[in-house]
Amino acid sequence: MKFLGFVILGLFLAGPALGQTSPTPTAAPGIPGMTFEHGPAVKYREKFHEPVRCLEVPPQLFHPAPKELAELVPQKASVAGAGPYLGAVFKDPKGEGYVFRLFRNEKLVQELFLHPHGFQVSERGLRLVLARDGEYLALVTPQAFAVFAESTQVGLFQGSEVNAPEVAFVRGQVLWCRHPMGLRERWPKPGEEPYAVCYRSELDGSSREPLFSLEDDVRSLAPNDNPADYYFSVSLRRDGKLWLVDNATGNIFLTSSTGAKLRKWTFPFALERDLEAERELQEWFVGELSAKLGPRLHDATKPREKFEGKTTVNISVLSRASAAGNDLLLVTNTGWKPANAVFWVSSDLRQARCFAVDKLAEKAPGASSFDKYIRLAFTDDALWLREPFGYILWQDLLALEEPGERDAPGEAPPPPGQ
Amino acid sequence: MLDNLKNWALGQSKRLAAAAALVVALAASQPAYALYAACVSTSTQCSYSYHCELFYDDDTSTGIEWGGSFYLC
Repeated sequence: MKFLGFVILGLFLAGPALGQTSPTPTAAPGIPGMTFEHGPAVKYREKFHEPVRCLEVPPQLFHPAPKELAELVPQKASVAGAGPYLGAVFKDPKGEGYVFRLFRNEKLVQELFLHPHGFQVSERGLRLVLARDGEYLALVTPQAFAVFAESTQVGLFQGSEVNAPEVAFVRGQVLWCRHPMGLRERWPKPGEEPYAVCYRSELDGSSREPLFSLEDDVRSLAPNDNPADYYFSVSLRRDGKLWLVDNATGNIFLTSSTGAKLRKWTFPFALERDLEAERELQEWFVGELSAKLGPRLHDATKPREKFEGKTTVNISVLSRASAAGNDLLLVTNTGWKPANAVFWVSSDLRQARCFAVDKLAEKAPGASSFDKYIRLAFTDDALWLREPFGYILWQDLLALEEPGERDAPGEAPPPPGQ
Repeated sequence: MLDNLKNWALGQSKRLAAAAALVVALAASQPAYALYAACVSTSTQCSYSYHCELFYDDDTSTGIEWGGSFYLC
């Protein structure tokens, strides 16, 4: 009976199939019985038609990192910004742990040796998150994160409420959003607490409480949605308010520091699906799953199984959402065109501008879409690139004139959806 | 006394053989069962990941498979 529900759910979920415009799910080569279909966010995004016009960033605006800074940040370091700070973390070449370096105005202001424990850390997938005041940091992995005050690990967060976490700090507390796992997560029944996706707690993990939930006004994909169709991130503005951004749908909430909704806006731009990137994700998935499913499907000691599977493909529209001052920065995900486009959105959500940094970034022309991801970091005053390592000042970017601006001066109209 | 023991042992082995045959017959007559997978495959910042829930016709779970591949962030 529940399988029937799954089939029906699958039918509802079916958006345009991968690589096609027809709603028919596509078969997965390599796993007979498995089909792919898009999550409902793809259909949802078709409603937004604002044309994307990204200004190419002139190379003369790019400032290479000073030698003394570049020498302190190895290529494999994970780099993050917050407020006026830029931080880097990397495996200690001389020891077991990790080295953390904090910079302000391009000068080293702190160096710490971190020894994360209680969870697995590897350089790939490791992300650094800084508090705006530089007091705390988090080492974030795909399934857990640890909070450090100076070099002491003061909190470890893991479990289903911490899957693929997006982390921020606010006034001595830690905030995070999770990516709900699995298609069979059920929605709460009437009268139950709404499905929480973001939480707040003390730095040691105590006093955990929901910060933001998938309430009716947040479930833009309802009724044919699933918790796994949403993927929120949280970041702290200079004024203490929060940006809560659903990277999957492009819905943006400005909230108080406690998560009370103040304004809602939807990223209004029409992005094009990157079919090549979709195919790469599909092929990667087939390779991964077929290795694990194989023994189950070819067990000679058991009667042969019939196998039927559906895979919902969710490629987030946005890969990054971050505060710079009170403004909001959004980066489009690889899997959509244009990828790695940097959107600056004003603090009042009335203006949005797009900047293309592809030509500044050193990426091999034939790189797979997986490798097209451009590593960026944001501080209040600059956009940092990792390859080549350097920065562009926001004031220089925002001073760039839009084409035709001289003919039609004045503020751009507010983006729709406010 | 020894004969009694032999007869008892023979009886036991026949019963065991019959029980084993019954198990084999049951297994042979059992219809092929169906395995279903409900998966989500995701691409987001620095990663590809997937999460699959596997279950049978009667909705009993037979496990979860998941994995990921990660960029330098």
